[in-house]
Amino acid sequence: MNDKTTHFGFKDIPWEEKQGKVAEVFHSVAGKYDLMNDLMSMGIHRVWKRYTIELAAVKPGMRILDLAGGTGDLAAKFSRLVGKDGQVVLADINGSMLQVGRSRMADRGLAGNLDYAQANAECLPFPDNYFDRITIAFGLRNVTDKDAALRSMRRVLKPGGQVMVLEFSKPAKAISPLYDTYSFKLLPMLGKLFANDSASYQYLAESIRMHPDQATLQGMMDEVGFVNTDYINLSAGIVALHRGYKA
Amino acid sequence: MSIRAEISMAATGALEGAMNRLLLQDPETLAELARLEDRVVGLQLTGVGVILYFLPHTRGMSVMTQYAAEPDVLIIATPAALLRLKLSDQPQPTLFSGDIKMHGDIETAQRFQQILGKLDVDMEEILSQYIGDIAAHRLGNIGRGLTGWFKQASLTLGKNLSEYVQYEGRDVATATELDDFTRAVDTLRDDSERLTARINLLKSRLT
Repeated sequence: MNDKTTHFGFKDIPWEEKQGKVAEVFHSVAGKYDLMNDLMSMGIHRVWKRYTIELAAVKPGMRILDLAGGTGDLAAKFSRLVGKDGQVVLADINGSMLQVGRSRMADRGLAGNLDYAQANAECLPFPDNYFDRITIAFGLRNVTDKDAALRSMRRVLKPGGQVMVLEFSKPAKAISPLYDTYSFKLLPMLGKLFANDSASYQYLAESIRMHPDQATLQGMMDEVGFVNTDYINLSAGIVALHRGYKA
Repeated sequence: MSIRAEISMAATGALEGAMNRLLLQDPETLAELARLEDRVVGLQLTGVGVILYFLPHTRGMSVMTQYAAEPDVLIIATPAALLRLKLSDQPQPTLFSGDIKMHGDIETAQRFQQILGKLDVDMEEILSQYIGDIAAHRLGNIGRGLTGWFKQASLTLGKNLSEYVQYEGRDVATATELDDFTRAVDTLRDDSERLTARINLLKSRLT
């Protein structure tokens, strides 16, 4: 029996339970995921994602993995950028999220260069050195073993390829009090009001706090072997975009 | 990322959203646009330091401020020249008057411009995101005053009255005056940039 514990929001839970508990949250919010993101970020998540897409510098013919791709915001844009000779894989560990993403892509008429995979970021079911870019937007904090996930991403990334981790991070001190009030008081209330699910939103707010800060995550990326790592703070550090390359 | 970059991203998102909402209401134009699905059109707004890349697809258009590969065509224009293009009833002469330059596949550019011409895009709103509200509004007002009045006059009062108001009454600007004004704006902008560069050079010598 493994007695290792990990964070689930502010609670410590047995290591092997986290995946199931996170799955429950996302099964619960899948249908209202976009609404949730809009609530959590006041709509600015669209700006953060747009910035990530632009910085990804995707060219026609590239292979892209969009991990924890949720409802496919990034994958849809990548699909147009890689063109018919490229490939975009939308992957999510959560079946409900992937189903929403898949339906949405079909509704938008997106097909041909898009594939779907229900996959755990910690052990990705792809060949070595396969992808030119890997993005994971607002997904890494829900992964139980982040080091394993980063290692797995590095394995499937081509040499010279780039990984981009967009995730909530540690905001500048000046805005911390306001941010605390928003995320711990207002956000669960909004979750209750709009999705009738304050517990899931409470988890999301707490999980953001427990996620490694900018420097720590950069250190973790260095540790698993990514090179030239850096990060860009977005909206005063509420979110950070971490980048790293495979040598 | 600076606040300015975040605003620019938000503006680009708003532009994309606005264009796609218009396109969804116009299936014919959308179908024409879909024929350009594998094309990328770059639009460089000189003097503003902004390049927008348009990526047409079957559901509308993606707009980006960075694109890693070469666009099929790069259109280089001043904001004023772009407004003239949009407001002009005969865009072709504007296109070839030298205010707008193109590099690459001219046919794609022309097809793209024809498609955009059919859309009722609020060019003033778009430009204001990059050059500021007041400048865009002034340019837009002059353009609107001229074109709006022109169309109304030709329908109701006829050519004579329009000539009276334009040339004798001096109540509205003529097309030539609008051209002169927008060119003067371009020249003033260029001059001010040169002056800034000169001041910076002198400053660097002092330090």
